[in-house]
Parts: sequence; structure tokens; C-alpha cells
Amino acid sequence: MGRRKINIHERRSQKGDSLLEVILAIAIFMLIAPAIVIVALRSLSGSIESEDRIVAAALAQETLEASRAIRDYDWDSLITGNHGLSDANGYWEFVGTSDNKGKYTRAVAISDTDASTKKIVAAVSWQGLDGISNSISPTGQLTKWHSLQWMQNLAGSFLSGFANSVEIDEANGGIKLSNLGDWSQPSVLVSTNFSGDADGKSIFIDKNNLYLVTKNEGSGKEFIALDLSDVTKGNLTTLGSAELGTNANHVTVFNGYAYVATDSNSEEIMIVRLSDYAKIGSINMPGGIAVSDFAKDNILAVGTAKSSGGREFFTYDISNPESSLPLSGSAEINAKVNDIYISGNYAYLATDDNGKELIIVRLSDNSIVNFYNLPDTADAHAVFVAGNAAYIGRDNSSVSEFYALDISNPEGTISPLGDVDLGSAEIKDIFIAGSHGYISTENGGTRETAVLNLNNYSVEIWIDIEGGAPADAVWMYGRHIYVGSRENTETLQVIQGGTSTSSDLAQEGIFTSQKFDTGAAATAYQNISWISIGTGTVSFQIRTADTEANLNSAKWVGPDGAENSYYTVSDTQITLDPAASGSRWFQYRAILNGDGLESPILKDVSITYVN
Amino acid sequence: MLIRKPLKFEGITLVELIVYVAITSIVLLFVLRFMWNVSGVSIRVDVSTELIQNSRFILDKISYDLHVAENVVIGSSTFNTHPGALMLDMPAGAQNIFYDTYEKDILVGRQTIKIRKLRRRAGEQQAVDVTGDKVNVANFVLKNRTRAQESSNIKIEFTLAFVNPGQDPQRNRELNVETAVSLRQ
Repeated sequence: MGRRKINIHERRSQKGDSLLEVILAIAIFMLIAPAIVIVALRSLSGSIESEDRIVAAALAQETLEASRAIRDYDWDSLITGNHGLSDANGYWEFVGTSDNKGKYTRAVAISDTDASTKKIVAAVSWQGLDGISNSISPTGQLTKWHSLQWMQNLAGSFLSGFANSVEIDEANGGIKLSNLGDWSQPSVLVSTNFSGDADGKSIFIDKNNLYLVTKNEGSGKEFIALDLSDVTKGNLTTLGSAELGTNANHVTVFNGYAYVATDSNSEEIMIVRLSDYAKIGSINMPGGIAVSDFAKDNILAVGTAKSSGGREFFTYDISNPESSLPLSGSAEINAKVNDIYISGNYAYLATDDNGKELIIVRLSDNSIVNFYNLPDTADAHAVFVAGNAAYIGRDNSSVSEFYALDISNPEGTISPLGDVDLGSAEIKDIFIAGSHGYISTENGGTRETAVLNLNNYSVEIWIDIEGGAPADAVWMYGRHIYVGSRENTETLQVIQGGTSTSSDLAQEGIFTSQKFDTGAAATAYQNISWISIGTGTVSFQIRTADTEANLNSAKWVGPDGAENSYYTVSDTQITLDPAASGSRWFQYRAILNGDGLESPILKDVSITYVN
Repeated sequence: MLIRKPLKFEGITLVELIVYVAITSIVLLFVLRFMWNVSGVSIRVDVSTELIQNSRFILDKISYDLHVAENVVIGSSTFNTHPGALMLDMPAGAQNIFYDTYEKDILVGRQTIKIRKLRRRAGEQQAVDVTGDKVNVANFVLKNRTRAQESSNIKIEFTLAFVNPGQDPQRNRELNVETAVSLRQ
């Protein structure tokens, strides 16, 4: 009986246990299985979603980059709002408010952050496997700064530009001031032949512009402007000319106008505007013909031939040459005034007076304050003032023809510093540069020009120029001597020294760049910067124009947009000439200055601009 | 006679429960693994992953090179057709970068099939593959979207298809990607 009970119990508990076990097993299964299935399905849809995401990310990148490309082309196309993109025309453009790429819809939303910055948000959206919308929206920022740059390494660009007294410095990869040249081995670099029987009477050089006046040429012009920007390579080009109709004796330049002293009885001084070489007016002076003139600080000083009842020295106010040229004053010299040089508040006159070859006039009241009597009675033809010394050149004398006088006290004592006896020479013109004096003579033959040493007051060398005619004018600039000659076919001659091993350098030289086309009419310039090493200074001027041809007559200006200013600090904002014809074409020039012994070395120049 | 039925708890002991859970889980794992393999989910995930990783690598590499390049050498590049080629001039004397495709024979199972791969060559060095052996570059087209004289902008379109010589539907996937990059010069 006990066993039976036990059996019954066992059977019952077994039955109960199995049912319970099954229920529990199913319950556990129901809990775990769905979780695993979900994981499996999720990983599959997740990977498909990843595929979608990578395509969307690539499209979003395309959206931002396309907006950037549109900004590069035209900032003004970035209109606030939502835009789709299209490249149907071979370049990116905005179309509508969105566009579709298969199952993806994308758009870019543009909004202003400030005047020169815009925020761009690329939105790409699509429907996922499970019907849920997905989207990504990366953002970017665009700045109104599409700056372009013109970079020049000067050693490499030297040949494409123009050089006046500068050359390549191989060691440093830049350009430097040229060697002064060995004057004992001179040669004529280039000369110009003006029409007819031209006599080069007077020269004036202002940086790369040379102005020459000649005796009456009849149908030819008596006033010529030449471009010296490439003279070191032997190139001279004519910039312009003016018809004067009479013998011209002397030329001086101030503030964009040339004043020519002539033989005319009614137009003793003729005025030529240098922007277009138009003769704009004249001055009818009392007394004899105008022989000499000098312009400085709004004053034009004129010397005439001796006038028995009148004066020989006159000063005019040239602040407004186009409207009027009022007479400021005059002085009675009682001799022919052959040459004038203004320094400080005084005019130094070289005269025919036998006892007063040098006369000093105070400009504030046009009164004669001093004079100097050179030995013997030879007439003084030329005067040049440099520092505290006045240099005089004169007719053949039994003593000396070249004198240096100490004029530190123009109204006090004048004492001689030295003199040079040139034998039987007659000096017509003088130019002083550094420790050398350059003279031109009436002698002709083989002694038209000479270089004098001012340290020991001796003739360093006589230079025989082309032909044998006298030379009326001389001017030294950079590494060249410019001579005005009466030789019919060699009116203006440019002299250079031979190869020199000495360390004497030119004290000023100019490199002019090639002409640069920015490609767009509305170009705005940013900064000019450069790299220079060595001893000395480098300064810049720029000019712009609407066409390449107009660039030739554009004015060289500095940071205040005016002609007598220069860029001296690298990375300066460029200011254009307000009167420039346009800004598409650009050109710069670099002026190197040294002390004659050392040179700055200019290596790279960079101009940044936007258009 | 009274038959005393001793009161007994008719239940499961904790140990039995634990054992049941353990056994059931193991059984379930095997069942589901079988289901998983039969349904081909893992294959689909592998294929997807391979396509995604190759696409990402191509995008990253080409985008970086284009961002850094000084300009596109148009004469040495092939635009508007498949297969395209791209030659980039890099700044500061660094070597040129050249992207193009080539055909390679690969062994899949016992078959030898030809696939197209993307490669990158720096200067004169040996070219390096950008895509792996499991994907075929079915399409690689470059389009020059530079306007006028502005910074270059290149549009890139490529399609990667999983190598599927047996035409297995599970492995029949491809990814179409389109993007564009502007040079930052």
C-alpha cells in the first residue's frame, strides 16, 4: 500500500513537473528569442543605413564644395535662402530650393553672418528602410575673400622687366644696384639721332624720365621726353615731344610741368605739361632772351642775357602754371646769367661778370646778398650746388676752369675748396654726384666730356664721345652719363663705364616690372610686400590703367595716391591714383638707393588683389 | 484506513530552473545560428561593410588630396568617361599625385575573374591600391566643374559592386556615390 501511494505520488509529480518544465522553457524562449532576432535584423538594417549615410555624407560634401565653387566665381550669387544645385551647364549653379538625387533630397541654406561672411548649411534627407526620415546637415562658412596674388622672384623675372642701373645678384637671388663702371674704359651705350641738325642743349632727368631740349628744329620738335626705364640694356624709347618753334636753351622740371628757357622774344619761358606733352602756356619776359632757369618749391628762377636798361634775374610763382604765373620779384645782375642753381633759400648764379662770376640772390626778397670773384675774367657758364659746396665751370682760363667753393654761409664768407685746371677747355655744363664731377665742354674733338675726382681735384678721365662736336649738356644718373651734343646724328648720348673691379656702385637704380594683366576690369588691390636684404633702402611706386596702352602714360604714385610719395614699408595697403583710367593693368617700379659702396638686394615682390 | 498524503511542494527547485535555462539557451543558440546562416544575414552585413569601408576610404583619400593640391593637371587627367583619371600638382615641390584604375585577375573560389581597382601613385613611386580585392569599381567618372579662372572644382562619381561571380543574390549589392571637392588654393 505504501508503495502504491509513493508510485501515485511519483507519477503525479512527474506529470506536474513536465508540464511546468515545458511552460517554463517556452516562456524563457519567448523572452530570449525575439531579442536575438531583433539584433540580427537590426544589424542588417543598420548596415544598409550605413550605406545610405555614406552616400548622404558624400552628397553633403558635394553641396558645401559646390557652394564654395559658386562663391569663388561670384560672391553675389550667394543669395540668402534655400537652394538646390545643378551642374548641367558644366559648372555649379543654384536651382530652385532643393534638388533630388535618386532617393535623396538635398538643399543648401545660406544666411548672412556679417557683411563679408555667410553661413551655409547643407541638408540631405532620405527615407530609410523602416520608412523613417533621416537627414544630415553639416555646416560651413564662406568668406568674401578670394584673394589673388602676383608673386615675382626678381632674379627670375629680371629679363621680363626693365632695368636702369640695376642688375641681378646671383649669390642672393635678387637684384642690386649696378657697379658704377670703370670710367677709364668708357663706351657709348646708346644714342639718339633727332631729325636735322639737332643740338642737345639741356637735359633734365627725373627718375626714369629724361627731358631734352634742342635748338630750333624747324618742323622737328624741340622738346623731347625719353623713357630711361630700360636704358641699362641699351633701350631708349620716346615718350612724347612738343613743338617749341625756337631755340631752346635750358629746361627745368617741377611738379608735372617743364619750363623751357628759349630765344623767343615773346615767349621767353615755355611751359609743357608732362602728362600729355602739351605746350600749355608761356611767359613773356621783359628784356633779353632767357638763357637759364631752375624750378624748385613752387619758384621758377630765370636768368636772361644782359639787358642794358633792365634786369637779368626773375622769379615766378609756379604753384598754378595752368592758371597764372605771377612775377614774384627780380634782381639787377648787370651781366648775362648763364646758369642758376637753387639750394635752400638762395639762388646761385653763374654769370659773365668779370668780377662776380658767382652771384648769390636771397629768394625771400630777391636781393643780391653775396658774390665771389674767381681769378681772371673767364665767364662762368655752369653752377651746381651739392651739400655745402658750389661748383663752378667756366670758359678757358689761364688758371683753372673748375672751382669748388664752400658756401656753408651763403651770406658770409665764401672760401675756395679746390679747383681743377683743364688746360684749354671751356666748360659748358656741370653735374655733381657723390665724389665725382661730370663736365661737358665746348672743345669737342676727343674732349667733349670729363669725369673729375673731387677728393683730390683732378681730372680722372677725359671721355671721347661719338663725333667731334661740342657738348652743351651733361647729367649723371645711376650708372650712366647723359650728354647733349651738337653732333648732327648723335644728339643725346648715353655713356657707360667699362667692367670694373672696384666696389663703387651707382647710388640709385630703378627696376620696372613687366606689365601685368589682372584679367578683370574691376580689380581692387590689397597690399604690396617685398623681401630685401643688405644695406640701403628700397622704395616702390605703382601705376594702373584700363588698357595696356594706357599704362604707358599712367602716373607713378605712392601710398597717398600722389606722384611724390613712395612705398617704403613692406605689406602696405595699395592706393591707386584717383585719376587712373582703370585698374585692370598693373605695373610697379622699385627704386634702390645706396651710399655708393653698398647696395640693398631686392628678392621677391608680391601684390595681392581681388576681382 | 486513512491514507495520509504528505503535503509536498510540487514545484521546480532553483537548481532545476537554472539547469533548464542553461540548456534552453544553448539549444536556442544553435537554432538561431542555423537560422542566421540560412537567412544569409551575416553575408549581407559583410557585403555592406566591405562596400562602405571602401567608399569611405576613396572619399577620404581623394578629398584630402584635392584639398591640398595646388592645381589639377588637366592634360594628364581623363574627364567625363569611365574609367577616369586624375593628375594633381601638389605644392612646394611635393610629388604629383595620380589616381586611375586598372584591371586585376583575382581568384574567387576556383574561378579567376577580372575586377577593376582604383589606385593612387605619388610621383614615380609604386602605385598603391585604394580599393580591396572584394569590390569592383564598376564606374569611376571625374568631371571638371571649374568655372572660368576660379579655383578648380572636381565632381567625382563612382560605383562599387561587391565581387559576385556566382551571381549570389545575397551578395548582389553595389553602392553609388557622388561628391565634389574644391581646391583650396
